[in-house]
Amino acid sequence: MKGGDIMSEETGQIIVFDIGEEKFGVKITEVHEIIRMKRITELPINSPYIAGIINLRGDIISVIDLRKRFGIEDIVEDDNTRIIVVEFEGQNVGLIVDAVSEVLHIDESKVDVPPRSMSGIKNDYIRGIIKVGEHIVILLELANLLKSKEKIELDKES
Amino acid sequence: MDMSDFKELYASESREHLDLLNDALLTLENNPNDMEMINEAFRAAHTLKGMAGTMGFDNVSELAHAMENVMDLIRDETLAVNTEVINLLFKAVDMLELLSSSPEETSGLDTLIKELKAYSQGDVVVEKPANTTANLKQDNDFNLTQEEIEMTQNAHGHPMTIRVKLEEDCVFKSLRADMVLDALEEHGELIKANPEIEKIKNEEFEHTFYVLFSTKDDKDIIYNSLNSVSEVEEVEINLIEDITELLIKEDTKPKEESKTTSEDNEKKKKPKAATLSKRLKSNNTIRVDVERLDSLMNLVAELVIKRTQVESVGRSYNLDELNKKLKPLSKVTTELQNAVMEMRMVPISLVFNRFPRLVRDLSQELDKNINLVIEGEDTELDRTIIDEIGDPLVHMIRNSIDHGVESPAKREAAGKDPVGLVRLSAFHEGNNVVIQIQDDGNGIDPEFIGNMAVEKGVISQSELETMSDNEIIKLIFAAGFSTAAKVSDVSGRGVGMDVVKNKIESLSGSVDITSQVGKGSIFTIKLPLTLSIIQGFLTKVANQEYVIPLESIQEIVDVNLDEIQTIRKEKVIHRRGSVIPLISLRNKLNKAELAEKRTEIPTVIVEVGDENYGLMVDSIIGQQEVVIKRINDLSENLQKIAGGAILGDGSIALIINVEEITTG
Repeated sequence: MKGGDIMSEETGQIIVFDIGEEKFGVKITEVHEIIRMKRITELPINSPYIAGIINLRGDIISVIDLRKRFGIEDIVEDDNTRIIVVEFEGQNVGLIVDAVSEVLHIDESKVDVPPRSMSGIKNDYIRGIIKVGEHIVILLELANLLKSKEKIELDKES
Repeated sequence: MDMSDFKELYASESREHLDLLNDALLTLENNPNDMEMINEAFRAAHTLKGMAGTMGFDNVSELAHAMENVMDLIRDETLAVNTEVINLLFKAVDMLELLSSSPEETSGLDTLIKELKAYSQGDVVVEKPANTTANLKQDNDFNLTQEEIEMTQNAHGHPMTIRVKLEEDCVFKSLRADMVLDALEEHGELIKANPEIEKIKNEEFEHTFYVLFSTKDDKDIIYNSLNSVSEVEEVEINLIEDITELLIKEDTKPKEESKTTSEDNEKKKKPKAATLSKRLKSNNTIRVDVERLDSLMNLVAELVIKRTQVESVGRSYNLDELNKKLKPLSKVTTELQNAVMEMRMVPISLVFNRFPRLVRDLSQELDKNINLVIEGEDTELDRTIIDEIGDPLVHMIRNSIDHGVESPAKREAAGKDPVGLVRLSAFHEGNNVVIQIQDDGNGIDPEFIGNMAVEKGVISQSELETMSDNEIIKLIFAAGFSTAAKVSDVSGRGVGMDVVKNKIESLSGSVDITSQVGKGSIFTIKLPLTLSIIQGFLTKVANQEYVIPLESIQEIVDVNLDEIQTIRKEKVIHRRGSVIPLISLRNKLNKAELAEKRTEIPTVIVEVGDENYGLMVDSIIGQQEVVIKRINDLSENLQKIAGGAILGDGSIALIINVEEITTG
């Protein structure tokens, strides 16, 4: 999929979800499905953000705790907690989010470059921000979010 | 056996007879004059009636009886075979099927019985087509169909008609008749009987019956053989010079259009041209409870472990003589294991055989003419795959018929044969089983699909422009995609091609499409020939299930606290003269140790290389066969776990990589 040219008059759809106080968005084309929280089987690995694996209709997929990924304090999950299953390089990966709020049409030309630091969340996985009404939606770059070398950097930091 | 066992037996035996009934009706529809088929159908219904009666399922019994009456009239040729009758009989079969597993579901039963009775009581008058075959009004006149003539020719003997008259005061007519038929069977092949065999066995004849027979023996031998049966008064044998003379003069096909091509009729006739005597013999298969097969498999697996242990004793004590004798034992147990694993392989026909009926029903419902060709039904698959692949295939065939194949009018307008072709084939290719569904319909239009996808928000317009036709066609597998403007019941509500794709992928398979607009489409499913199935032992550690592969396990023991010694800071036990290091799985899996100390610790002793290790767990659950699923974790840190297994309740058990956890 070609990366969007910020200057072109493209509109795409994004799925907006909440984590803590912030709103994030991923392209709808990357989203495979959205499911409710399931029982997560933990893996015996020292990963700061891989929550474990789940059974998705006979397939075993890994699930990432985005709160942990972004270094935000954990909360108790509730009825709104969801797992967004995204497709990345031919595999499905789940992202645990606090709530999924809406699907938006956005105008790619209105996406801004993110400021240098955003509440502690590293820039590499933010492809831009966009103002929607009163809110700012942080658009995520999945590729960087899911690559493991990020983890090493995260480790170095802590 | 208690009631529930009876019910299971009843359900599975009913299933068999229902299948027979289904097949017979399907064949009868295409060959309305095939008396053998109506007899088979009648027999099946009759058996079902009996079984239901024994179980006390009176409503099933009544329904089967109503069917019998209708079929009896068809047999007698007072009622002709046409689409309405067949449809009604099919409805009855479906109801029987439903009732055999859920006897309470009786809604619609009374109406159905009434409708059947309407036919059998002559309330519905069906005009028999003017020309019928096998006009057996004249007792010694055999009018044969082309098929029957071929059968006779295939029998490779001299054809002859035999008239047998039993004595006037013969009491056991059917018994004597049976003896005559048995005697004949010893000398050749029965082609046809007049009255039909059924009627002869039911004593529905006066004293005389006729048989069309083929034998290599001299007619005198036959004559003597039959005369030697008690109470046979007369035997008359007429050799037939030219069997084709007995061909019925009129056209045997009914006036209404046959739904299949003539080519297909040929294909259907050939396998059915088996003589009566061949059909009377039974299959050489037996039915075995799946649970028994599984327990056999487990026993064999245990046998293999024990053998391994014996082998290791022989090795550690250097018992040459024992080692020598163990080699052939080893070979036999391995062969036994393979043979048992092969029992799990079943032919794909188990799945394919529901399709003729499905296609027939769909064709009627959607007003399309479909010729279903099935190839490679003997191809074998593992039982677990067979269970799972049925639904995806049904969905894809429905799709082909609903969306792929055009209506006969459209096809003719396009210069195509009004009868559409759907070809379902299966074959082995390398380490895979390949299943293909091909149709010669209107193909998948990339433009249509592309626009649909953009409309549904599956992709954006700009993305569409970067995609190749083949990539666009594959969008039908994307989540949230359905091309039906309204979701028709035929293709199922909410079951999209994405679910089909997921199901196939969960079996470690793949699905692909090629298509040409106007020409048709081919769906290709590839499935691995063997799933990665292993026998394992299920254990629990810190509230999570773990599977230890059986092949590594030597034995499972409860280690007493006082058995444990510490050598060089390592906990060990002594067993059979060797020192076995103990490994706490809680520890290796980064879990906290148990709060309370236990006096007995369940320990699984495994062999890695030449060394033994004892893996301490929280509890032992039991032996279980599991399918290994890969875990693609993103940290690449998952050495200790070889994969995941989905348990019966949907939860995931982690499969321990024994090597890594002991030596890593």
